[in-house]
Amino acid sequence: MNDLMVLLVVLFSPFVAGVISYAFRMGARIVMPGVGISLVLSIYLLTQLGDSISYSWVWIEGLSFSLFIDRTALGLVCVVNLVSLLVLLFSSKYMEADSGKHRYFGFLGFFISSMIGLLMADHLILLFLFWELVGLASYLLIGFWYNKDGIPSSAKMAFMVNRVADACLLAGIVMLFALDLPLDLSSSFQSWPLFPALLITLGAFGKSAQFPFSGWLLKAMVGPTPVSALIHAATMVAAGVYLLIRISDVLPDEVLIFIAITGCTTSLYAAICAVIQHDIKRILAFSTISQLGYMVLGVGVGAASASLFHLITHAFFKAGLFLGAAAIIHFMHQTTAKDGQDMRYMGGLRSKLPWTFKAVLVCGLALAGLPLFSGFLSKDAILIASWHFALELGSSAYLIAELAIFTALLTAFYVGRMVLLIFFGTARTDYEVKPAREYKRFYFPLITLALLSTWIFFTLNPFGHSSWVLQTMGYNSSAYKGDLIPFLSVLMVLTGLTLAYSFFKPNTKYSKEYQGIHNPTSRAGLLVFNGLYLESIYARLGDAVGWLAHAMKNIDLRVVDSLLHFVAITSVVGSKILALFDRFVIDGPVNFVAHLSSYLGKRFAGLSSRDGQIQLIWLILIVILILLGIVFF
Amino acid sequence: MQNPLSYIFLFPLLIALIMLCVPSRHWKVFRRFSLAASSVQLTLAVLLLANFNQELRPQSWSGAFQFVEKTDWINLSLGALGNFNVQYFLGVDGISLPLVALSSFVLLIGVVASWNIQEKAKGYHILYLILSASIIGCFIALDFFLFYLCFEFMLLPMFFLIGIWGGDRRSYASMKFFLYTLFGSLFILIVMIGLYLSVEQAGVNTFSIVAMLDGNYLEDAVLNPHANYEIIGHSARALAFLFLLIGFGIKLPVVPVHTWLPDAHVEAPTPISVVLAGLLLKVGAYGLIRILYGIFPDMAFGYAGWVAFFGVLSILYGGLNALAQRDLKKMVAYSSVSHMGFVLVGMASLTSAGFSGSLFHMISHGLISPALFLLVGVIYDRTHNRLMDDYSGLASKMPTYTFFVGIFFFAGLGLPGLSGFVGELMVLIGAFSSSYFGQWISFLAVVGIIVSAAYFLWTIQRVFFGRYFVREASWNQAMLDLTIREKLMLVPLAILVLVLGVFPRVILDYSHNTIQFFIEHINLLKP
Repeated sequence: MNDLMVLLVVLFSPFVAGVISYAFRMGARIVMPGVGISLVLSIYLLTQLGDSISYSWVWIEGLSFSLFIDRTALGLVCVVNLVSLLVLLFSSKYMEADSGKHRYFGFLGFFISSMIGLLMADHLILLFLFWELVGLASYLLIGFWYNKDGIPSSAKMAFMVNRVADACLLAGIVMLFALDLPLDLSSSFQSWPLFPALLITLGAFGKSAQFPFSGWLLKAMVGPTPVSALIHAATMVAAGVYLLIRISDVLPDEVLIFIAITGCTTSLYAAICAVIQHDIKRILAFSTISQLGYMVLGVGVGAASASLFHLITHAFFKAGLFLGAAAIIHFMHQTTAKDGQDMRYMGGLRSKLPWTFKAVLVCGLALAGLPLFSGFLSKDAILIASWHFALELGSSAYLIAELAIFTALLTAFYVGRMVLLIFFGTARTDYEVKPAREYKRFYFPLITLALLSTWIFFTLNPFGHSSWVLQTMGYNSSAYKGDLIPFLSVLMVLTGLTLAYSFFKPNTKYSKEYQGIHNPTSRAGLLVFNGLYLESIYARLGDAVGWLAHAMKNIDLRVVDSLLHFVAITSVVGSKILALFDRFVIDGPVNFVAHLSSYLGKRFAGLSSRDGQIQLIWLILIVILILLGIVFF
Repeated sequence: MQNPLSYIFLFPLLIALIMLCVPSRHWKVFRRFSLAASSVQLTLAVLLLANFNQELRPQSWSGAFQFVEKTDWINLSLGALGNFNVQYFLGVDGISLPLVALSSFVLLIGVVASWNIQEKAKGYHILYLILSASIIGCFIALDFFLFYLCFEFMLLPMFFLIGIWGGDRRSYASMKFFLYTLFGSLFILIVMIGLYLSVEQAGVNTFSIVAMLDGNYLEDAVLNPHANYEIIGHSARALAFLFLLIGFGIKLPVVPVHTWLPDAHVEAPTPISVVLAGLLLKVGAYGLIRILYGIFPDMAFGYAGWVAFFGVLSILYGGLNALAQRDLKKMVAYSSVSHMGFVLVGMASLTSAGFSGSLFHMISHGLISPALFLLVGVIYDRTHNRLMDDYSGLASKMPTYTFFVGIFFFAGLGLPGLSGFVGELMVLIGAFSSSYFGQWISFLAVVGIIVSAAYFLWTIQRVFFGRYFVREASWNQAMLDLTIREKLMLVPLAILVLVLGVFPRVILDYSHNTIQFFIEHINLLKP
């Protein structure tokens, strides 16, 4: 079996498994082996791979699709497959009772294959192809429970926001094509012109939920929670960052600065929003946006490999957190709690869900960026790089680095708050209604992901930033050595955690009265609680387009079609007038002559029946008249 | 086989003649006859595809056509005015052959869609076959007179098919359709006469499109590009260009001369909508590419901006109108207007990517829009109601139906991997690389892609997702999933849409050399 065959199997086996699941109502028992095959083969390829392999296929005359698989791509394929497999295992229990599970696993297979394709694609248009397929798959999965209220519209909004960004991406790609620049990423060395580069960057921002596109990720929360684990961790949102990493060398400096600013702003904005949420999924969603902001910041400050590293560590711990949330929600749905996702009904879950607690704790600390956990390694690399970036650029660039470091404090704070309010203290709901327990298929993936969120899987030295992961992927990461930054960030994390503990530890006023706390009512509070109302703004924009559409419809009816009717009516009226003219003016004299002759005929018709003398008199009279006529005229 | 084009053209007419002799009480016979005729057409089209020489690189238009048939047809001596000389002249090149293949395929689908028509079945099927002959005739005629004859002859069966078998407002719609397109045809007629007087072959005036394409103008003739003839202060060729643009633009249709289309579509029976959207619009597009751009390329450069502007106007205006519709069929009809705008933009770009994109988009839309009308027909057959507000959550009752809706809606909104994307992409590449109009037009075309996503997703959300609901309780028993016959129509369409999306060269390899030559030829004539 040559490499191409292996690659194609890696690419298509989840998809084929998904199709079989969909068509023959099979579910997880076919999709899991499909992804398993893909995982095994991608690891096999990673061990075999020399430098890179590429294949090319003429799609259209003058436009060849090429796959380019280097260690970065293949490494990420392994990560995607691994996370997906764990999510599938989890889902096989989570979705056990759902009647549409064949559909669910079919879509998942499609989703995973599309993401793998996106990672392997070298040609930008091929990348765009998979990019859109990933978007479609996420639309289908977000809207999985299509007959529940509100879910279809959320799925649509998520898709539409992505579509707007995708249109930017497509325009950028086509502009590059029109400028005759190479669209194969592996052979793009020449710096891109500003405008297309900016458009492509916007496209990446859309998929990676950067401000102001970030709202779709919150809308995506209505899907089954394991899907969120996949969307937020390895697939979908990773795509934008991955694209930015791949093109970071050809982006012009202005765009890189724009990227850095957007990343930093998004990261800070989302971290602030996460602090005051009560819905566990919304906290995690905001934290994803915030962490993606870090990755984007990393690309902007010229540390693409640090972003890549964070992408991978984040994939594991965020998948762990979401699966943890899924386990909690699954548990809560068996109790009397009014809302299974609201932390105000939780509390003291540590004893009920011990494994989940451990996993969420480990993954949460990785998210917070505590030393000995994976998040510390990668986040610090980004922070160090942004500090170097600030040193180079000076002046206001320091603000970016400082805000990024401050965001680390917020992150630790909301992680601490979340863990304390969910697992510690007293139960705020009566859990004992039904015997609920932890399932093996729940905690096995959780524990695995928690283990993968510790430092040991990435580097032996918990403070060293040179990870074998990056080296396997062909990056030299020794560049990230930064004097004081690690200490500063550890200080931030510890401060954040301490603050969280002092506020939310059991028996404080806040945690005792937590159940009775209402959503914020002040204007500023609402603004933050709703994430700057991005979702409402999208809805308003949608309404505006709808209004425009109705205006166009009215124009079509009242102006364009009316004009036509006017022409039609005028021509009918005109022809009626012509007909009258024809009848009275043209035809009138003719009829007059006809009537006259018939009248005269009738008048004179009697003559023939009269006697001969009268006839003779008439004859003579007429002859005289004619003669007179001849003489006088 | 000798003269395959004549067979594919005239065979339906022959069958129609035979049908005339069958008593009309045997209504089931007619649909079998139609099916046979269309199957033979499709088989012939496949044979044509198989035997077409893709490698042929034409040097001039006279060498570009294959399967050529040519005989004198009408030869009248007009005394001092010379001869009136019409030829029976058929042939296909890389542009028309895919359209011939598409036509025979869609016509067959149309027959299957007409399967349950009992009322006046004899008349229906005879008219349908006349329609199918004239559509194919348009794509293969190389004599302008013959082309015009077929072009006009399509109106007649269409008028009756809508006017007799249509919906409630059928007489209004069919009259509007007939008069509107007839009005457009007059402009084409004028240009045709002008061309006849200006073009010669072997010393005599001719209607031969090939001679017109090659530019065999008589010296000092009206439309000779070097004669700079003027009519009331305007260049004769510019006027001819505009006349053709109006004539074929109505057929395409281009905003603002599109309003016949929604009415005709809404009132037409499903199979006729299928043919109307799938093929009749393509005849307009084909006329633009073959006659307008083929014969008047020198004018195309100057008017590229305007053509592209009207293309983009159609894309956005059609798209926004589709978004505002309550009637499913009207939504699909306006989406056709929007998609045809891409075809126009692609042509206006005057690049080979743009031309290929236009052609591909024609083929792709020729598969997607029939499927969309069939899908609307599925609901209409069951409830005789097409209003979106009267349905919700159909996905839970009709999963297979929803599956196909998903495929074709996403093909319509240009999802990569399905055929709709390829055409749009190539048109955009053409538009962005074209130097004949501003980039803002291309950007507006990109905005059109967002709008198309909006109306398709909005429809899915309202009609197929959500809680199950239908307005009338009596419809509940009718809401059954697809029948075998419906699947038989949708599955081949879906397969083709998928295959063309993944392997666009299936079409583009046929057209590549022709379009390459076309563009070179155009650039030689650049003023």
